[in-house]
Amino acid sequence: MPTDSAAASAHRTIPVLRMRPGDHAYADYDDDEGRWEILVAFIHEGLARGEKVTVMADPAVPPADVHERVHGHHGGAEPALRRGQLSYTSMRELIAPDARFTAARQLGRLQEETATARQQGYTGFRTVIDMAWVADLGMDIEGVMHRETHAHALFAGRDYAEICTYDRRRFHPEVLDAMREGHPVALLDRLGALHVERAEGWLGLVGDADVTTRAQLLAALPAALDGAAGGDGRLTVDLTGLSFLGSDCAVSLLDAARALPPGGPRVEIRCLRFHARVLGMLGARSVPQLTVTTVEDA
Amino acid sequence: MTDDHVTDDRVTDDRVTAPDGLVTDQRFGADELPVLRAVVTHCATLAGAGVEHRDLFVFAVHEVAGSLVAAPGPDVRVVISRPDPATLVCRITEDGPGATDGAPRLRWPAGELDGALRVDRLADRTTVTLRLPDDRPAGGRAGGDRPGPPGRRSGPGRHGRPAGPPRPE
Repeated sequence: MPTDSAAASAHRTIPVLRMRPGDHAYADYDDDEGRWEILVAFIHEGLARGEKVTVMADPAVPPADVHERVHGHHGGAEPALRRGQLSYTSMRELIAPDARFTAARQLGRLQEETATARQQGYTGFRTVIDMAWVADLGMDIEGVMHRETHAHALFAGRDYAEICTYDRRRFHPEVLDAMREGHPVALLDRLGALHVERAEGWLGLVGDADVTTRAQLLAALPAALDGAAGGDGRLTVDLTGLSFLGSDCAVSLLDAARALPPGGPRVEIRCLRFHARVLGMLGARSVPQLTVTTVEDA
Repeated sequence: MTDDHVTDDRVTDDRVTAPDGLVTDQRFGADELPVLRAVVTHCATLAGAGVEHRDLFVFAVHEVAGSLVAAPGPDVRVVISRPDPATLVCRITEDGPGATDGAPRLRWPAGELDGALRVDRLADRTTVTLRLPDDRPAGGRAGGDRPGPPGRRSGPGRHGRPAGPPRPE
């Protein structure tokens, strides 16, 4: 069985497409591709879900350039911008007319914007904030940390979600570690990434399990199964953190379970409903050592 | 797997024309499948698909595109369109023989998608067309772009203009 700490640790890291209202997430990047990939996916997920979305990108990047990135994903950004569902601003604009950042001012403004979005009929409000604003406003890092760890009230109503993105080239590694720890959840740094975590009798997958990440799964499975064989004879494979399960990885999981000897370890796959359908389509029910348990999405 | 459930096909022998309601027309390589999945997810959500149908559609598009880009040849071209507010069509084209023949992983989503999957092979080109069925009850089909909230204000500015959140009223 998984230890509580292992399960909690694995679920602290999530893919961006599993973000939900109420989530306050840390993300980082060290190149342009990583910078835009997560931001753009987060924005479009919010637009598609009927949420209002505000983007506070790096103040050094002109809003027109940001919008070009966002709109390039597919055509949904332009009409959203026209109807006011999507907007671009900066921390400087958000806290105006105040010139000096205070956590109270910023949190108050975001609460106002959340309430306005709900009054306008949106299902929620989400922002993505590039932390380059810290240097832009000459803010000290202690003040930022205080804000990040004292913002719980903003998320308690579960109608606001936020990503704080950090450029790893601009912040000291110790600061980044502290910021990651200071957020309730951290995002995988790329679309399509897979995070694999192991504990005794437990293997957790977070992110996307497809042909490009299958090697990670194949590398982790033997040790996990060996561990189960030497333990209580059970291995739980937790797929509830996946945002995608492709047939390649699904087949690999079934093959691994199918190869177990009679009387050997038993495998329980815990997964979302659709992933159970995929496993079923690929023959999960014919694998005697395997149980598939469906878990409802939170 | 070739069938004729898709009736508005515009594949000709030498090109794919832009369909009505074009949403996106992009090329994707093998390492860009996650981006393709994200695009399809957002398009399907915008089209009002329920979670199960959306996930099925994304899975099917991924499996088709994955099998085509895995074959030797250039990237695949993906054209997503919404010919009407409640319908999403994804057309995936590869300039090559493709790798979709008899793939069992495609038969299942094809069946689940109510047969709305079609494969066309013309000389050196393979085109797979998938249509997202409307899974909503009849009363909920007056869809369109994600409907704007009643009384919603008009947009804050032109393309790319910074537009801070409005002050509370």
